[in-house]
Amino acid sequence: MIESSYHPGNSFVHRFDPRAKLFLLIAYTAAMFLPYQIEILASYTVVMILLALPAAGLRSAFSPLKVLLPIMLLIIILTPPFYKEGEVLVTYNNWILLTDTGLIRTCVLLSRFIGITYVFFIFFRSTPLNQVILTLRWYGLSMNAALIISMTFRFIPYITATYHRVSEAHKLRGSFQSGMWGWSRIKGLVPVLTSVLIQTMKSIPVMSMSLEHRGFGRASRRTSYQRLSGGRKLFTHLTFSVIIALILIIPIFLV
Amino acid sequence: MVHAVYGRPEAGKTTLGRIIAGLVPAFTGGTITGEILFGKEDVLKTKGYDLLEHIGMVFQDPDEQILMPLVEDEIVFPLESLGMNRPQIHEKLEEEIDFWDLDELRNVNPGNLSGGEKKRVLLAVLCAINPSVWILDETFEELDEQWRETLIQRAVASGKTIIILASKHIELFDIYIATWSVIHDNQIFQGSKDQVLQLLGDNWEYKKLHPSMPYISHSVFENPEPILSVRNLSYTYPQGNSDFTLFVDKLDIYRGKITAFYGPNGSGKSTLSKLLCGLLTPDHGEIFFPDNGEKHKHAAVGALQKFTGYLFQNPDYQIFLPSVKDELMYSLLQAGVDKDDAYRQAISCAELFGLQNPNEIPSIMSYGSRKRLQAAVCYLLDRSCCIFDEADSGILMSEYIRIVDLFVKREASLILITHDLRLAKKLADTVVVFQDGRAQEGYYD
Repeated sequence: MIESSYHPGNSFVHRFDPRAKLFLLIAYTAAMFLPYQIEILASYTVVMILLALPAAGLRSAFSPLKVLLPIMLLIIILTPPFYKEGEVLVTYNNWILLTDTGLIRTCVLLSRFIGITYVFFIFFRSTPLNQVILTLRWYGLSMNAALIISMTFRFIPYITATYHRVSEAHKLRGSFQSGMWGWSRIKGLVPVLTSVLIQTMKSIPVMSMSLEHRGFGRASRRTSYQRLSGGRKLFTHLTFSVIIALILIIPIFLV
Repeated sequence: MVHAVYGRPEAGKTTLGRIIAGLVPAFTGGTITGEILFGKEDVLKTKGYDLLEHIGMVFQDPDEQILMPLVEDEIVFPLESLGMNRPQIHEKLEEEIDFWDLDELRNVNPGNLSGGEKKRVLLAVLCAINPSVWILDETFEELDEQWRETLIQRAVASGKTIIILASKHIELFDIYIATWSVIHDNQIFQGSKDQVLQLLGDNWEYKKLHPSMPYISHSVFENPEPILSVRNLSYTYPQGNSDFTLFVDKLDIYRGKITAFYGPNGSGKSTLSKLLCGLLTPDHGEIFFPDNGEKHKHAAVGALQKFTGYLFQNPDYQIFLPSVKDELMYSLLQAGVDKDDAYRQAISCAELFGLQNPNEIPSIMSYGSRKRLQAAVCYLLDRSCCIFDEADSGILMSEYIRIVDLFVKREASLILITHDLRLAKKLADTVVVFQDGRAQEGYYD
């Protein structure tokens, strides 16, 4: 989610106030954990995937699904055997492999997993990182906590980029190939991950040094250059997001 | 005034710079005696953050210093630490963004920039803070010639105290230097230019002082055939920071010859290199082996990766095993070489590349030794073509030339990526000039 971070754009998702977006992100995530029927959860998930189209474009909108695929497969394989109740749909040698309850539970888990991933994906894709930090501070996060998050945003892509460079270096050394699968891939990943670990560990003490060299820790009060605009737009967007949040939780009262 | 402190790689220049900036030994441990006075203030008794407006440093490795997720935030962060108000920060930010030509990059994650662009970001930060003392630690490396010249002009015009820590590129600023110093055998000597260069003992421009500086062997091939060719190639990054596209109409890499890729930061040198070794695939055009009878048929990615070796700027990308010997034996064993034979080859190669102790742990060896180890690993892979990506950074020029010479003697085709046109002309048979994503061959006598 963070690795594929902000891409500029002019969609309504991009123009939506980040404070209202963050409020909706929390509301949506909470709603996805309410005991809704699968139809409702699935519709919420579909809406979020559709929102990714204007936020990320057709080419990138489905990229999170590719990343999630291994975990989705694990959910599909491991969830159904834990549910023996309900109508039996698939058996093998008297073993119940799939019941209708197991099927529904699997779909519920998949919907939650995909929906929540997509809401974060859209948020980070459509919101510049400095606005994310300012939004968190607007909601009361301390300067130090905001700085930690800010550096995380900087270093997750850094570690990812290091991983890509190191794996490229190892491809040319013959110790790691793109087409490797299974055990050979795991074996091939050992040199890559070892090199990444060495690189990352070396960066920790110099990072503290650099922070102090940039004046972090001074007794005098820090100023803040970046600010989020307020006014009528903020009020409108926050009101709109509260209405959406209410719509998201209305079904719980109808069940 | 400009003060130059020279020293071979690993001589202690960075440590000296960080001591002056109040960062060592606070973050590294160790003991220190004596005093460094900034006015009446003892730097050794002052916290690094309280020296912010007094002493600023640009680290040799930009990845060690960049902290923020956006270029703009990187420049703003120390100004906020200084307690500047918004209009003041805005004015300084815009001034430095404009001066260092960072407008298109202001909302980009600095981690995604090229080495030269990162250095420009850090220089923009330094200039925005505008401290009384500027410490430039090998800052000229990775910058192209235009930005090197811009930096020296800006530094001289600033009227500040400039301390340049360097091992090469002396010719860029020697007319501005007020005091000459060199770190030699763990001690600093101050003296005349000639005395300092004599002690430094390794400089391209001052070769006349050192007749022992090695030259490159001449290729054994009189009329070499191309072994790798490029025709009508174009490539655009799918999700790049800009609309950069690389175009190469025609390029041939000849057996046993040295080709230099020369051009400014971001002109496409590394992109073409990655295409040549199969790490990227061109959008249009072909990269092919002319001697395999399948002319103009794009070579398979796997074939290119086995054909080409690559010396990355950062040697740590390829190092992962617990000893020099293991690193050298790894690829040989992978290739099916008998263990005893692999051991013999590894020990012999270690000697060839000046790696004295084959049981040494690579990750804690000096930077220069790690560079030599990386080169030795590439040498043992016995690739037909090897790419040296600014491999001269952080090592002595004589050491770099010796490594190049070892590969030439092995009849490998070499591609040297460099910002230094004189070095390119001196070493290469062909110089390919890159400008705005276009690569064109040029021959030099």
